Amino acid sequence: MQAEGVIIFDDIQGKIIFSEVPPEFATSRQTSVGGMLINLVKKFSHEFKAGDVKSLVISSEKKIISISKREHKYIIVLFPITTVIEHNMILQKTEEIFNSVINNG
Amino acid sequence: MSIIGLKRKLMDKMMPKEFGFISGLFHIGVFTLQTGIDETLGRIGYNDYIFPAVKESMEKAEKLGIEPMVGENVEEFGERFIKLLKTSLLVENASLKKKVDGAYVFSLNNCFMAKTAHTVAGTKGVCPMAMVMAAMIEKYVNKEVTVNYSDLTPNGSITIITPTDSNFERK
Repeated sequence: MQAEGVIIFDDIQGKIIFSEVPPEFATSRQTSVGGMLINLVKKFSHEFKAGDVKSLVISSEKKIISISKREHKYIIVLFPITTVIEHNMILQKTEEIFNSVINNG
Repeated sequence: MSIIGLKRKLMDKMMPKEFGFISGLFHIGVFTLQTGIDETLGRIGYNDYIFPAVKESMEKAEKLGIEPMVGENVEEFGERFIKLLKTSLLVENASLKKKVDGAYVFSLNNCFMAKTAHTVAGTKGVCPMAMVMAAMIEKYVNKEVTVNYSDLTPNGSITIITPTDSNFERK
């Protein structure tokens, strides 16, 4: 399962700190939507007293978008849909990509 | 007294008191939207999404006669915009001063709207003129900026506008 793009949002700085996405998704406005989504989901979770958001998987028509949190950083990974994949596997792959980005950063 | 000063005095005398009410409503709308975006989508929504959107909408402002000023620096642009603000009689005076850390302090003094609006609309928000100024710096000087909440006083506003470079790895 090959990732199509990776964005990292730093919750403390409140901004995107890393972005590797195809050129057609690379404008500041496009990548910033990731940070906005995380803020909105956090707000949603807190409204329902669900605590911190640890992960999120968005299963869309053409892509799977996976979000994982580690300390104060969130990673957003775009996967193209190839076959039906378990959400747990997607999150596992997301974690692996997170490790790889952090270790190479 | 200059002609602009005289016009301004006349405006002060002639403007109906309802103007303050309308101006207050306008600011309530703007400030509520700003804080709503901040609370739900965070500052990133404000800085990286809304400002670029305002900047894109500036195309329409050019149709009103604001000439494109691409390539000039922040100070030169600021000078022109402040002249426009003063000629419009919205403010009596304004300034854009660079700080040691590279940020700019944009001050409006004796703003026609602020007199009543800031009292009615509260004290948390970015002055709409500072927001426009920041978006225009992005558009015409081609620098990304971040904007703090304004210090809103009964007579005007003080806003810190910080030009930034994209300081993250974008591949």
